[in-house]
Amino acid sequence: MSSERVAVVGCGQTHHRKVRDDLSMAGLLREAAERALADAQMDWKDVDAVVIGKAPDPFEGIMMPEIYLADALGCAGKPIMRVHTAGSVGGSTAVVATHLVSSGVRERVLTIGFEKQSEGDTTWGLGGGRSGSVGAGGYFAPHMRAYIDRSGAPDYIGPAVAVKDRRNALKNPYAHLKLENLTIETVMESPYVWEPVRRLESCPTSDGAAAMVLTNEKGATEGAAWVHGTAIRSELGQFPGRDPVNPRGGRDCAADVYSQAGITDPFNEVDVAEIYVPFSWYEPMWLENLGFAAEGDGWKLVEKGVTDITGELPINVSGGVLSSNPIGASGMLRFLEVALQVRGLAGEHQIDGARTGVGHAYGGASQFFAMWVVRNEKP
Amino acid sequence: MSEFTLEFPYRRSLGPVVGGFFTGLRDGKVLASRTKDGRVLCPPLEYDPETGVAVEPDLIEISGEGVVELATYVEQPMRKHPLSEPFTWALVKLDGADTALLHAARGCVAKGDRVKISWRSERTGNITDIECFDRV
Amino acid sequence: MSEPVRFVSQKVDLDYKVVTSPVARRFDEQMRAGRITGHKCPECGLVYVPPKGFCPIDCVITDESNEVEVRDAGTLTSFTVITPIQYQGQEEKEEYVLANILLDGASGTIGQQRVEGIPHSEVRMGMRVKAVWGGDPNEGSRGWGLTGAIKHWEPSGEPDEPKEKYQEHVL
Repeated sequence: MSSERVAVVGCGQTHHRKVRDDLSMAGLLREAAERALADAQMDWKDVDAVVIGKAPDPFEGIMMPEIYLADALGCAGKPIMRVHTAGSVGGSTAVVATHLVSSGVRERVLTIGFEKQSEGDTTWGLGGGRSGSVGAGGYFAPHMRAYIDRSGAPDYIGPAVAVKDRRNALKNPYAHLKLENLTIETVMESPYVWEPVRRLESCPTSDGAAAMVLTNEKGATEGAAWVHGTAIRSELGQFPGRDPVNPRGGRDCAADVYSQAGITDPFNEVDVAEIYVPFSWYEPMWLENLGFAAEGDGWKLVEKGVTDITGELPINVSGGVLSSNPIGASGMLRFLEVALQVRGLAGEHQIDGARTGVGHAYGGASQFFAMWVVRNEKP
Repeated sequence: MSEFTLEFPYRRSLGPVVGGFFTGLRDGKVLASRTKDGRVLCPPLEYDPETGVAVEPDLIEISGEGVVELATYVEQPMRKHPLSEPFTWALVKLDGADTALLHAARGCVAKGDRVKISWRSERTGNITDIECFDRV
Repeated sequence: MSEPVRFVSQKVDLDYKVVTSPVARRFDEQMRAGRITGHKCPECGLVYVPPKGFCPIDCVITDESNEVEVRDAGTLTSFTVITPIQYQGQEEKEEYVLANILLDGASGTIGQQRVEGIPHSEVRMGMRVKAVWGGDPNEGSRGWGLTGAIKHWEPSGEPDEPKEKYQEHVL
């Protein structure tokens, strides 16, 4: 895909919380960025360009935060740009940063995704300020119901994903939700918010940021993760025949990124994946959409424990979006977590010997998709 | 044609530097931050815009009086402007600071004029605790 | 000295005037007269309700000459029961059903439509529903647009449609 090889040499994230009331918005980005720079053994002056991403402005009510953040991100005399693709933005931001390096335009790029959800109200923002906004969950709930109806999945599959991801989060010091002793029963007893989705099957609202430092081969350090493919797809939000359960954009995005990375059998060739699951049922849905399972079979992988941290295809071992959801960072966290995995730096949630990782994000009305494949070896 | 008003009370987390500045305003004091190389920033920034390095952790108090660096006169204020009578948007470099603060000055002021803060009597910890600047 | 200031409230308050497009205005007029209309794409034949004024698949402009009327009845293809989140400005307090409905004669669904007149636990995919119109078109008390003119949808009493009729119409 590229003339220059791209290495992930620095990864940093905040401790995600409901409210990071100890930090300004700039301070939130800095916490992640300084950890990424430290990991990369770099300083602010070493960065050539900064690419940031966050969800739409009404969520926090700061118009064009990139203007106010340029100072805080050491951008004097350097390019800074912002990427917008709704919930998938953290992923597409990392892809844009990758392309700045792969194209040979920049050598060392800092990329940051962030959200300070505590400053506003996302449901309000999604409704354009009017009464009756149902939020993302209310929009996606009929799609999940359609998946359940179509696949014949048993009702405990969604709750099982919710339990798995929250157990994984207990191993991740940065994760927001720390729910001890969660069981399928306790999830099923929690109230419906957007039936068929229960409260404990939904993502939290979080303050947090994720940052990565990307370099070309010349700037790469020992133990970097290498980018083997990037892909972005989008599709119209609504037209007759569009299938939000298994969207064409997601399938095409996966096919493209696998082809770049030389992956023909994703289930067997991928060691670990972080996929964007803000509501529990999206794990089986995306397992099918991304080619890890045949259509209608995604839920069977969940049922058999294949996607557990000890399973054959561990999914969201960081705890995923279900455990931490700073929206603009959520996609980048998926990309970052698989980079950590192939670098062997994921700590307690490390998958032994992970060599190939897939990061995935989606956004809008299930219409924006971004993915990357990283490995511990050069392409 | 349809009309509607979009309205929402956002809640900003200020962090230690801006929070300190606003606490000072509430208490009727102007606080500034210092960069590693000793420049004094007011309004205080958290990070040196030249280098990206964090400022010194402690804020210092500076004067509530200073010099207008740039000005633009508003003859007919709009509904949401800070003053209802004609005023000037002024960049004011307070004595002791190396950077300037944007605020409203009563009436018509010009570059080079000395101005001082007119404090509100009821202060809440916000930039609006400074009602405006007045010519000295 | 009291506590340090850690937060500040910032109220956003913006006044908007939104100009209605000719396509939406024509649709609204028809709705006020009790007719649900769409545009049929001259290339692919898909019927868009409400009309967009173009077919996004074929990239062709559509207008009144492509207008078709669809029935004010259809099939519920999927739904959710909403527990409204209480943000500032939210007027909904009680649980309610929102459904995607494939109107008879339309190619795609209308989304987030209220369904009433049936216990929430009995709402089901494939259920046939009909419109309950609000206001009086002659007195001018009927609201604008789909959700203004139609108060809600209710079961029509017709037999449910089989899976193959609704399954490919989530949207």
